[in-house]
Amino acid sequence: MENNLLKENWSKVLDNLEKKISKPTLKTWFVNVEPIQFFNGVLKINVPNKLVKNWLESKFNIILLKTIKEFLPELKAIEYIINNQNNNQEYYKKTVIKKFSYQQKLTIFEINPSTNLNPKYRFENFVVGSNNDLAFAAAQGVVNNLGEKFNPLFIYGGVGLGKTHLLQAIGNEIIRKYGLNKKVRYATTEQFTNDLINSLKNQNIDEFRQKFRDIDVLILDDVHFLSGKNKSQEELFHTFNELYNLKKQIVFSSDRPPRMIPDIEERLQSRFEGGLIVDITPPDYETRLAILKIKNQEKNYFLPDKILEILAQKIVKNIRELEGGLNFIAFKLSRFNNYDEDKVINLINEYLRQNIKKVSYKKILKIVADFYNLKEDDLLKKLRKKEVIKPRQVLIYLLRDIGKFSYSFIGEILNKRDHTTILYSYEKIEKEIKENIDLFQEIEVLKEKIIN
Amino acid sequence: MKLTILKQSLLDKLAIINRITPKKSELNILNFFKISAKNNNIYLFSTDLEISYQSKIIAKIKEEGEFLVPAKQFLEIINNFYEEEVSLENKENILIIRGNNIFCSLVSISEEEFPFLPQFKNDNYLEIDSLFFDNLLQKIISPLKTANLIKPELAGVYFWLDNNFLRLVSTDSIRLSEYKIKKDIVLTNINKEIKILIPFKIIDEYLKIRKKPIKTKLYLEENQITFDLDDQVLISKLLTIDYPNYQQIIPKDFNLEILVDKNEILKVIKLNNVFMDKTKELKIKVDFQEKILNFYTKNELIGENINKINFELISSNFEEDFEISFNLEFLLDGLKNIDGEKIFLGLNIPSEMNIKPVLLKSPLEDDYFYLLMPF
Repeated sequence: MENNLLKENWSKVLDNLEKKISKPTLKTWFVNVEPIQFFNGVLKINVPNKLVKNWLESKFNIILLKTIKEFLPELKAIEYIINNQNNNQEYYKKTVIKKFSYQQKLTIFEINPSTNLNPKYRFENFVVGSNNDLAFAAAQGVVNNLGEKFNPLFIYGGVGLGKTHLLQAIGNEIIRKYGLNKKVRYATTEQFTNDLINSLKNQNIDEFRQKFRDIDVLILDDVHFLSGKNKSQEELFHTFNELYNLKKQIVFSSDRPPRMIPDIEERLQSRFEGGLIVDITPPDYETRLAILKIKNQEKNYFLPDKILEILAQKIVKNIRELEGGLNFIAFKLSRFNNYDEDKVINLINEYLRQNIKKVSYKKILKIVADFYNLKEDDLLKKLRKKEVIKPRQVLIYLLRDIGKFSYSFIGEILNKRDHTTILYSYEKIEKEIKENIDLFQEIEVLKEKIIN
Repeated sequence: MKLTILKQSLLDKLAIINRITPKKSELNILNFFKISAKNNNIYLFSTDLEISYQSKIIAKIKEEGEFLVPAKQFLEIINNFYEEEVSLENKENILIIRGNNIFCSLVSISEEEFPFLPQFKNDNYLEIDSLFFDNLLQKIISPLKTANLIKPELAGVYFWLDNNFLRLVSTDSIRLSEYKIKKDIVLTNINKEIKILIPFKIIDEYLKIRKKPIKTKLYLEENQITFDLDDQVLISKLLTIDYPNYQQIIPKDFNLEILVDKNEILKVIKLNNVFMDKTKELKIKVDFQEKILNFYTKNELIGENINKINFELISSNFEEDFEISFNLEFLLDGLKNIDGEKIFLGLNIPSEMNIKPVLLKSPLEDDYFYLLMPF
């Protein structure tokens, strides 16, 4: 008998049982008791614990057999199986106290350990706008035609624009649609690389390969981090080939198109380009507002539309910052009984101020020096060697743009340079990145490194 | 059944029986517990179908037998029993409770309907000093008090035994605590790695049981865990869940590593608590130059509070002032569980992209740590 049919008939079985035993008895012993499988005359029934199992076996077995036989004439025996899952999960989830909804969480506990997906990312809460409609359509295409239509799918776009959301939603939707029939694995490139390093160190590369090859869908986030990592690139190349030849679906994301990723093997780059490439751009005002409205509802903040409109106007950079701003405002306003527009604007400004000046100059210096393979000292000294000049200008640009340090402070660090020199360097890079796409990409990589 | 017993020895156990017996069960039978008299002992047994409790008390038995007793009423009677010795006797389905000047009777129900005593096997055992084990559990229990509200599927003690260590871990997904002891501190015949989740409810009950300084024996079976205290036994089912690899989230590097005086910071936090609003947000400003933590709490309805404490700098890769805030109660839970005069704080500056938990531990010992996410 089909599982659905079993479940349908089960409520009838319980109704009939109620006539034979008392209602309280039924309510006590048959909570979380349900049939799971019927095979060869044996019906398997899930029970919550050993006590219930013993009780049903000895007290109700005969009456249960008789009652179920009315619906299942072939029934010969019942097997009671203890179910160890926590049955009350669904109920509790709905009653999570609002008090803690503002609080930051340790994200690892939200993640499904077998797929590495966070169930909160779904298609339904992904806001589609003109900035991402193509990517969204491609993602749906992937789910409906696994491994056939767009393989691999390559999604690229800037930081905090929803790449991870879309990638994870693909994974979650596949699980919802195909259930346990499809094995999905999501990983960030960092996780992929770390897993590889660990497996090489612990000499269990087979386990690693099983994890990434014995699956139906591989979703790999942020592949631009493969840049310069030869061993990981090689492993991914072989993983890709094996999956691709078996028509398994592969999805990648990156902050730039494949050909712009520096230091990556050509054969891997051509694999990235072999399917469909789509981009996500920053959201416009309407999309930002729509995102805020959805989040406001999801998190039960109940902020009025007026506040959301102000937020959507003031925070323009990316979705992550938009969501952070919403959380901040909701949290701050929760302690006031009434507030006006000025208060909200002040709070948003406070939030935007908070988000800057949180990176130390030493960190920026170290990252820039490492990136260009130079000594930190060389960047700081008044050295006029050609290969140092551009990196130094980039350093100045980043100290100003991300670090928000004053020109005179930056001058102070760079061996007492005059602040006009600093200003000149900053403006030079600022102008150049608008014209030179390679430099733009370089700066974006550096920014991401600094922020993370 | 006919016996006499000391009031006091009954009372301790009845409190536990009464807690475990469901308050308003649909099934009348579960509002009862079972007394059975045998070999100069009486055995009390109650269950709510999730947890079962059994205890043994010495008594003078004149006639062996079994009887079902309504838990709530019986506790009330014994609580107010104004003589030392209690006589119990059943006549058909009536229990007579008698002293020299007291006579009560309680109506029972047919004994056959009572749930079975759950069975346990002691094939896989682990033995540990009870006081030590209690202390260990007390240190990690605080996150579990909120876990039921935030992350109910993880509302249990994660019990992880490998070849070298026994780790007890708890989390509500905002904070996490771990206590680690060397495996040779416990006595066990288990040689394989064990990872189980013990429901909070049985841990909570176990901690409330008054114990003599004895050993606690744990028996592990596939679906079940048993806490054996010789004269008392608690049994519960185990939760199965793939516990996340929480070790991934323990920060290894910090922007700032400092030491603070434990007494001082505890007092400051309690002072700030006077001024808290319902969000419980405690703001801390780190003054890097002066090596001072500034606490500032303002509540429009109550007033304001400003405190400073000095810190000792261990290391930093960041040389500017910053602000960080925590849920005051959660911070307090972590701080007070750390032994010693000084507390190590490993802080990372929160940025929109990347918020890491603060790590609290003793600067001397590595056995305990507490992670807490900032607001």
